[in-house]
Amino acid sequence: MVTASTPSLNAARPPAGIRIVGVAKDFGGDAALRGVDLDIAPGELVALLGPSGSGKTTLLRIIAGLEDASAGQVFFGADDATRLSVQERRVGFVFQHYALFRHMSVFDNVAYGLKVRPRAQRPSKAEIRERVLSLIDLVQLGGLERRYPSQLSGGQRQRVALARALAVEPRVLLLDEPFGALDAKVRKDLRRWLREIHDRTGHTTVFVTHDQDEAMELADRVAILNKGRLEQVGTADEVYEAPASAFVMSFVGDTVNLPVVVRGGRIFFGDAPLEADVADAPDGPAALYLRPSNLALTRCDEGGALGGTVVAVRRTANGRRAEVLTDVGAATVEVELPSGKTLAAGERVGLHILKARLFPTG
Amino acid sequence: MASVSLNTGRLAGPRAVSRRATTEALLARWLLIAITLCFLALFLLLPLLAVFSQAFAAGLETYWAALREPDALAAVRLTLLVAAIAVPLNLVFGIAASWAITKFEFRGKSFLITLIDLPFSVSPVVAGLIYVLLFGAQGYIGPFLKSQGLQIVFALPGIVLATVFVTFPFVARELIPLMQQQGTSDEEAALTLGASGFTAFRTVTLPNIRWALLYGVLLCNARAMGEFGAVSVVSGRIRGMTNTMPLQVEILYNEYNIVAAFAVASLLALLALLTLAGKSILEWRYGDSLDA
Repeated sequence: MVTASTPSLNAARPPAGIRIVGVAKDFGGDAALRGVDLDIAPGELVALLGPSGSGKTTLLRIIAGLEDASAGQVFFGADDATRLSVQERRVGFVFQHYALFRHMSVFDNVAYGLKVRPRAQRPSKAEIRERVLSLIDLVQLGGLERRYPSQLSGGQRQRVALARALAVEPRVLLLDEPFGALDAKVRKDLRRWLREIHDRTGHTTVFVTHDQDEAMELADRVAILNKGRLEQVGTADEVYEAPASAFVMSFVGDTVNLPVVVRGGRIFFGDAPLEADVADAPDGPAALYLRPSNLALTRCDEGGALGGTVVAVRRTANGRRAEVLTDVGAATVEVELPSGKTLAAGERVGLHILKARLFPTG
Repeated sequence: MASVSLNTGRLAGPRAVSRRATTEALLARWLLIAITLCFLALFLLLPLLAVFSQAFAAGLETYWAALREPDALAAVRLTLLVAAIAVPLNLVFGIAASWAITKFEFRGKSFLITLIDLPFSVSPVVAGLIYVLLFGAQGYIGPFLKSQGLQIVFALPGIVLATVFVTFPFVARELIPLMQQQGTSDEEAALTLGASGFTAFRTVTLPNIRWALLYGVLLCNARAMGEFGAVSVVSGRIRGMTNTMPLQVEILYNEYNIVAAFAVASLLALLALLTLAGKSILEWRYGDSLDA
């Protein structure tokens, strides 16, 4: 059903960027956001990524005007949106559980935003009909416009919610955990499909997620929030390859974390010096973070390698991993196994650190 | 809007046929059903039949005569009038209270919920006395109102006040759990789509709660027409003026006018049965949406 882009479905004018300046939010003494600055370019697709309680949904609701910021401002293009009511902001908001109007058909749900407009701005009945039907086609639900939300699957409801949000020609599109309530297969399909819709309609889009795969696969840039602070903003490659903090490093992928001490430009794990390729670091305690794929298996007696004993071997979605208990420091380390390589519990191995990042602690 | 709502009911599909996974002993099942039926027959059905048989004991002529009696007619009129005022008031209060409790966070919310339940826990007689104390001739504000030409106690306003007090919880109690479960995101969605607060209420909230609301109103109405205790204290029982149907029944009965008492009682019972039938029809017709 994907046809050539219809002009009326695109953002009415060139899309507006979003500028967030020093936004903070207090919930009766608990700070949900502590001064967030974020620039989102017109037409960009940005993911707000963070664990639950990081403030990502609060930030999205502040952008929408569903929540008031305790401090700071939100700009849509050059307009100060902080002064505008929810209705005046013209955002398209997709709720986590869709919030479809259960007593209205798919058609009436999508048409709602057009029908509630003041008479002077309301399109004619025929225009509304044409617009709603083309949106229903856009979200690939053609023929289902007379169904009720209770008769649709989760993925279909999600698409109705998106069509409803797009119907008002929003200046920005905001999605709260858009795929949170769907099963893994549907999530993947919808993810790709949402990217397509975004590329065709060109809306500035912000979506909230706690799923790092989703954020990195779908978004142009990922903004990572932790405890109400913005930890890092960057492309998927940037946050994965050059994480700005230990939190980002451990949040965007699997990590192995070793407590080490830096002395005179060398890294010591327990008493053993490690041959790790890290930038020059200040003396003192630090945490060495590395990905399971940054470790190479060698023989246990090889010089400079970290000796250990295999505790268990597990199968994951992407391959096989061994859990190794290190001789020094007794840390449990996960190592990715090359295909064809087999290891048994109790076997002695050596580990080579190919690449790691050092974050000072204390 | 009406046609849409009918569709929801129809499209909700046939009720799931329940097939018992557990098989209790047949005897236990029949025994329980039999006990329940006997109990209902003895304590509910039999008295109801007695009311009607007593009402018609002296023949249809006497029955009609008893109902056409001016005092009886006045009592019917007053009861309907009081219900017609009290029920819409509680409809508005109930929606406002449920809205405040479920859509906003504020201090003293649990206290407000307790307060809504107060009429259920306070004896109706006490409720009536409160109004006499406030608005009576020796009450706190009664004399002032009287000097303004306003008679509250022993008049229609007092009866309405007492009825409103006693029937307040019905609508709110029906709505609060439903609205709590539905949350606020439907309304928020409507707001982001450009609807004003009132439009959101009219087009989203009201349809979402309509069946629970109707259900609450029916219960409220049944109680408003049948209330005895609180109304009896504030009405003063002036025949043909401040006697509602339940009060009229009692007075007639105390005067050993058994047939007339049961004739009015049968009318009251009929109103209750009609309410019950309305409720059952709604449940049967829109059971799925009521659950929603």
